[in-house]
Amino acid sequence: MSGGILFWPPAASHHAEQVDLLIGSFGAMTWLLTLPVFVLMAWFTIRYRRSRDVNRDHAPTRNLWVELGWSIIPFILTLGFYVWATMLFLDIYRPPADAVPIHVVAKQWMWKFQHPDGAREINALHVPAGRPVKLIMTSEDVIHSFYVPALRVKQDLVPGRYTSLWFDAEKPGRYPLRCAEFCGTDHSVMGGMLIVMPPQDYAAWLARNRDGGTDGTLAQAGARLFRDLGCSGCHGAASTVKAPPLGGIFGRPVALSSGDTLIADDQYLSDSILLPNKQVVAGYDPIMPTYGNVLRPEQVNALVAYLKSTRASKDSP
Amino acid sequence: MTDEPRFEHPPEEAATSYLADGYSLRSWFLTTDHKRIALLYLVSITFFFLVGAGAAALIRLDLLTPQGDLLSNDGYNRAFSIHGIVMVWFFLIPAIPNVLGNFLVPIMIGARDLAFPRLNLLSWYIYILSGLLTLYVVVGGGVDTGWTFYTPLSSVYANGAVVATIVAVFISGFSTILTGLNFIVTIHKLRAPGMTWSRLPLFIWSHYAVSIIFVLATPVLAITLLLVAAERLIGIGVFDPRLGGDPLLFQHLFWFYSHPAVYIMVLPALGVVSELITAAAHKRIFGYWFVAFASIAIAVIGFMVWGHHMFVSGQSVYASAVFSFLSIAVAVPSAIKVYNWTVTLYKADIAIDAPLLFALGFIGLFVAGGLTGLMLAMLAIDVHVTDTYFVVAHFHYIMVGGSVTAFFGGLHFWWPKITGRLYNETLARIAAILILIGFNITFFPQFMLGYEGMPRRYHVYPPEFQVLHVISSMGAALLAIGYAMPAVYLIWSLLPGGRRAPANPWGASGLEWTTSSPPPQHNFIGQPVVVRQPYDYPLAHPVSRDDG
Amino acid sequence: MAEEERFAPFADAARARDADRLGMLIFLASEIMLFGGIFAAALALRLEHGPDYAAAAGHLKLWLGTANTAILLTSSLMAALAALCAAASGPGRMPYSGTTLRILPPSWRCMALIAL
Repeated sequence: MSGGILFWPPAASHHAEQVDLLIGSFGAMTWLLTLPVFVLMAWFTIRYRRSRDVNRDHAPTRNLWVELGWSIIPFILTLGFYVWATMLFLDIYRPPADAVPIHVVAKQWMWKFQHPDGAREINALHVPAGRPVKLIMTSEDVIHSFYVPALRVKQDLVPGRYTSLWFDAEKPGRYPLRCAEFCGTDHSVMGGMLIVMPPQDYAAWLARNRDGGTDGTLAQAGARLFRDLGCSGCHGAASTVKAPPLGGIFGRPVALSSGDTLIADDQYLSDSILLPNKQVVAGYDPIMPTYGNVLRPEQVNALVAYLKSTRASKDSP
Repeated sequence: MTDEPRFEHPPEEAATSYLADGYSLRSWFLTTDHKRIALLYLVSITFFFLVGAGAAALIRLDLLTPQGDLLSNDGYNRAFSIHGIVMVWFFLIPAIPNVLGNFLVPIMIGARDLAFPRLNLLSWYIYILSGLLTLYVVVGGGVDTGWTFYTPLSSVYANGAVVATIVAVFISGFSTILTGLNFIVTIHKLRAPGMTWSRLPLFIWSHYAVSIIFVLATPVLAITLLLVAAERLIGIGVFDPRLGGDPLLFQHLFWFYSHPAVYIMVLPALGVVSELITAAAHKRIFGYWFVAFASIAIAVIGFMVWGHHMFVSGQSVYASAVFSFLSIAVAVPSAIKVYNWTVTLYKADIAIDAPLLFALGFIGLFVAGGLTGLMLAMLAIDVHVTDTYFVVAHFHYIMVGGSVTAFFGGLHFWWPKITGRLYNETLARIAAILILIGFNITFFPQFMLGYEGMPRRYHVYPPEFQVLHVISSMGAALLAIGYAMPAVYLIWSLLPGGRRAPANPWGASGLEWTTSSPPPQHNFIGQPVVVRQPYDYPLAHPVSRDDG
Repeated sequence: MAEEERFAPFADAARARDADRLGMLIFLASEIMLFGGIFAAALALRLEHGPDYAAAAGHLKLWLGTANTAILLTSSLMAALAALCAAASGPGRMPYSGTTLRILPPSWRCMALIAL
């Protein structure tokens, strides 16, 4: 294990250090409030045991102010920590705009990673030190959970949905990655490694591994899939089938047949491919077939990455 | 043992004890006497405790080495699943309410039985039926979904006897619901003259609170598990996303029951401890109404915190913030009880016997479990430690360090009343201390393992964690010895030469101590009338006897 | 003493009826939670998949649903009538007696109603 106190995991990011500080100080406060209780209990038990002849007159049986005091004061003190903990928590879900997006797909019993420039990894994830990384995650089968103890972050991967978290690993090193949601037979051995590299090493690694062989970037792989699966047959400008245009759709508002409007995000695009009748665009018929039986989540990721890269009208597929 | 109340009818002339009222199998298996049903439950839950403990032994043995070489991956998954399922539904949930509650609720309020005695017997038979089905599952190879049955693992991908297990748990739920119904009606409608709500023992208040949870939460589990079985058997897409279902829907429904379920497991224990403390201290509880209403508050707020099991599940962060706040709020009533018990000991008249040792041990371990629960309620901390051994340690501190300890304390305290015999006090004190030491050695290292990043439900782990696992397993062995001791000396006390108990060996207040040990068939001779406060120490005949 | 035993553990018939009513209300509360759970699940799926849900509803068979509802309602009516019949038929009811269970059959007429 690299560094750190004995029996304490290494802290690889600023967030991790904050979490350690939080639990340390909260632990200290609870000890301060609890120790007197234990001491008093022990003292009373010894002092007032039956064989002893001590003054037992006027033993109290009720006191409203004392009751209110020891109910409300610890509660308010704890709320202070609640605010701190909640703010730290919300942080995990607010990635900076320049975070590198990496797709994660978990399946029984392995981790698959897709870098935006096409690099693909299994069970090992290389990231640059000191740069924010955002993970966009889903599962191919059951619920898994992405957990890197050194970063003090964890997020479940749910089939049929995208979940995400971001981190900024400052200290280069190799940190274990573990699945933290029981997922069947090989749950215990579904491990991996997060490899945080200093910027130069990372650049070198990227140069060696980009393009995933011949697929090109993730978006380019998606463009190829879009062609090969015949998506432009309906969604292309020259199509006779009435289907919503997809150029530049990511981040734009979409009016649904139910009357609601939503902003097209990863989840919406993925649902539209796998469960097209879940949310139908206003003015269109629910005739798109599902591609859930022919596409793996990694392929859906590629398609979504491609759609994200398109612009309205000019690059219309 | 300072105060012996006078009896108008000395015990020797009293009506037959309930134990002597018929010796046939029929008189036991078709009994409607709540006291006999309590003993039927005692034997059954002890049996299931052994089954669950056997699974625990397999787990701790396998975890001695990092390679997971005792059990296969699948075998280990089945071991911890059976451990959880059996311990939660067939031991912890019925233990205090169906053994001590069944026996004491009518007697403590001055009634001759529960409101629906035949329903009480039915509850036991339903429990046995579901238990037999569970045994069938265990013998047949077990189930591998964890006691939490998360979808779509349980509804689509798992290979074990999922549906059979679900049916067993479904059936056991009705035993619980009927028990809760029985307790609520009994407490409302069968209190003796003068037993107003302000004179109820705190044991009754906590059983009333737990019965509310029994009745309102258990049905939700029943229907949720039925939906899982339906998806597994006929493929309706409730939780399977490939069919448009939502895996998180299961978690919401499951935890809506299972969080109140953990309060089911701890509320009766809190009630027992209030009785143990006041009896050992020979002193009225400090803040009676605060302690009584704290039980109700725990039951009510306990229904509003289920989302704290789902902070990293993909649930909305704003929902998580609300659940976190409420989870902190639910700790307040528990803290109130602990403070009140402490002040009760001030200027008290304390006898340090085994029941008090169990009660004090409970308080220490329950507080440790509760504070780590508060840590888990803190969002940013939970993200790191959820689904790790930190959570495992937390809930074992509450359920084992708390509930099981309180169950043993109550069993010792009321043993003379239930059986009419006295157990060996020296051995009991040794057992209590052994249990408390063994428990801490077993579970404290698990907090450390959790923070270091050891996930739950793993039997293959990094070698650097082995030291802590070995310590934990050694503690478990000590704990097992500690639990085995009461089995020996309690049964020993039942043998022909055992010492007989007087009506009130502890000099404690409460209606149960005014009747003989063991009580007669209808609990009292004549109709008890209550004229004084509960815990009315120093003892001077807190009830008058109406022989009319 | 026989009267006392008849409604034991209650002192008289009025108290026993009172307790029975409370017991039934509590049982109904638990049943509400039971069906509440399934309605909650159905509602969640309905909200998540509006158009699909509406489309699926179009596949339901009206005649089957109507027949099912009719059977449910009339069977509840029959059960209520059977209970009234049993109450009215006097001896032959199931009294509670002592500490062991004794099972006595209700009259055959009422049994027929229950079977219906």
